[in-house]
Amino acid sequence: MNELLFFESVDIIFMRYITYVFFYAKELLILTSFLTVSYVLCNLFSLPLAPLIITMKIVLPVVFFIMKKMNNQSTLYFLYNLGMSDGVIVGLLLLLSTIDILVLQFILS
Amino acid sequence: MLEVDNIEKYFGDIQLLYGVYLKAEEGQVTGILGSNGCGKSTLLKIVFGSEKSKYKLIKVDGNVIQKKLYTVGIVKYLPQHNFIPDFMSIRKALQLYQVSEQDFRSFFVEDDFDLLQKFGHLSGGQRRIIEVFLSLKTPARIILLDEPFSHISPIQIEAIKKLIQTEKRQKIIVIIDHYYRDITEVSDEIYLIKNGSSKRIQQLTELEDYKYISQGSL
Repeated sequence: MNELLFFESVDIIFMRYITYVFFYAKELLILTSFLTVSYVLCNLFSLPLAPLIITMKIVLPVVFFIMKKMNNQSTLYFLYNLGMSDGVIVGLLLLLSTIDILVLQFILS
Repeated sequence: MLEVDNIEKYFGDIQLLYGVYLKAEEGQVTGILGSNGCGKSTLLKIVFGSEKSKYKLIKVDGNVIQKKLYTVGIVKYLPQHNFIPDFMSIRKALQLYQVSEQDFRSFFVEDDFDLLQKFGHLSGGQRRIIEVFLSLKTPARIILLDEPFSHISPIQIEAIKKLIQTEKRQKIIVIIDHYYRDITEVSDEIYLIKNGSSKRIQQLTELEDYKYISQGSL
């Protein structure tokens, strides 16, 4: 029973802080996936573009969030209603955008 | 008690709100009226914390709240437009808003909603009324409603009004809408935003005096 409650609360937290940002920012994540593929190709063919790709992966989430905020997108209020501040949302977008590169770096090293 | 004072909002060089004051108490519905573009929605967003203002003072139970109110976790805001993402099912939305399925079923007796249905597959009216219902039933202390009566049928408006009357017992509800008759009917306190300032309305005839409605329309 306690286990069930634990997994239920983990599910809620996960939904709150990861899943909905993921869906909310799916266009961004499609874009960053292309950047990840480019990053892998750069590493495979020893092209010197990796730093530029990493910079883009960091800058894109911030630009994406600012655009959503400027358009006063209603779904942003969904996240606000869950108590997520602008900083938390941007932080999660950054994490979701760069985590694959961090994992790749770890594997490659 | 929610107290909002000295709210000043500028858009560039243009001042929209001039030191607005508002007091909303538990057990009461506070309605805000005003013409188009007078700053009603902006005022709610400033209180909620998603919109910046030049000056503002927000107090809850006499304590000044410095943080954005939504980060404190005591407020829910219903924006004018649909805000629950398309991909989300009714069941997930109920879980996130901490509303029981039983409450949902007993409110929507006539509509046989499939709880696994996604918001993106609902009609505009169905979506809106579920969002209004969730915003009212969620266990937040302060509920800010921006045009809750828009896009829903008259019979559902009546159901929402009844729900507001039940929920106001343990909540602070602030509501804005263009349908002034609905607002005056459901509210215990009314403020009018006129020329960027708030005016507390004690007699409905004052709405005529302030030229918010034409003479004799009450």
